[in-house]
Amino acid sequence: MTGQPILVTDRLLLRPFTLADASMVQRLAGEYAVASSALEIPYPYPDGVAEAWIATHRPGFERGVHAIYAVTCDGDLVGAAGLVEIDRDHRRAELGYWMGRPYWGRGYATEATRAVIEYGFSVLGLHRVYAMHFSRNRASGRVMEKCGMVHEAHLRGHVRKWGVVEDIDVCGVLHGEWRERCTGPAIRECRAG
Amino acid sequence: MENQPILATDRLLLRSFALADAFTVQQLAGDYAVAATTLLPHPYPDGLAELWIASLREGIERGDTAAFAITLAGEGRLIGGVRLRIDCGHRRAELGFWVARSCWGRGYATEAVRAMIEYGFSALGLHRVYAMHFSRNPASGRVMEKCGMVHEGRFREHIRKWGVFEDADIWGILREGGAFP
Repeated sequence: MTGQPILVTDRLLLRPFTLADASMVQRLAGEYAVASSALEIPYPYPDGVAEAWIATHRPGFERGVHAIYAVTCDGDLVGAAGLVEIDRDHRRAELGYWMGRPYWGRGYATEATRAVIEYGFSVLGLHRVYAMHFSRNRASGRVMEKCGMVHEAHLRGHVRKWGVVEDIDVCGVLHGEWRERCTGPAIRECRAG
Repeated sequence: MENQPILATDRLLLRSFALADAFTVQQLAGDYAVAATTLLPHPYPDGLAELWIASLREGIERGDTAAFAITLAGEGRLIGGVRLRIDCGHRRAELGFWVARSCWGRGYATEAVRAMIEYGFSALGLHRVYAMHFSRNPASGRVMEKCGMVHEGRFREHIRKWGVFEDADIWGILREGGAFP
């Protein structure tokens, strides 16, 4: 039971990335609108970076520090969602995600992140999940809100992205309130990968 | 390698920790009241102070740490510690501090933290300094407020301390635009 399970939602299937996803990752995450809204994505997106990123997933999952999912719809890769900075002592993790530009505005980010949060609470036994977004990126804040996350902090000048110092917002959700607020199953099926 | 200066304030001298401080650190930081406001264990295990001091020195050499022993000017007595955890990429640092219980209520923490913030901005070239404290410990928040930091939020049940999930408040100050008192 050490493998990363597949998570199925109403419209999406979340599975571990494989190296075969690398060129699509480069194409989707390499788009300016996506890269500029995520802290770690470079622009332009160099060759080899997607492969190197995917190669970290399995060792990190096995060490228990992260669980990163390819978000797919009808077999097509549409984005990524996962838990990083998993901290067993404090039973918390940071939620992160990006969606390919062609797939914005369909609620995929909300659906995928809800599945990942549910996975964090029910499978990993977390107590708290939090997430950060650039303050200028209100759409990401709305995804967090729709997932039942509460706005907790506005950190001024906390990060430097492409040489520019930027504010970020932090949202969080606790296991107990997630159970109260989350109506309807966030994961339809969780099966071995 | 000793590449940190000594910082003098009105009543304090901030200097680098030395291994010879380990016994005093264990005594002062081993106080339950101090341990309860930090992430320190209690009781404070033998050998931890030596490890901690060594790790600070390594961090200073790597450039991801600035750390000073807080001592009383004149008599030289060690009364606490103040530290920055530096993130060079984002030009920010997280500040942490502790002061021996026998020295609480005299403004020493505020004096030391102000000096550390100034050091972070002018010597280390930081853009932002932030700090977190347990929400149940508002005295620590008052120190941050007196140093010109702004309350930026509260991370709910972010930290598990001795088995209990606790809220943490976060404060920050920017090099520009902060009215430094």
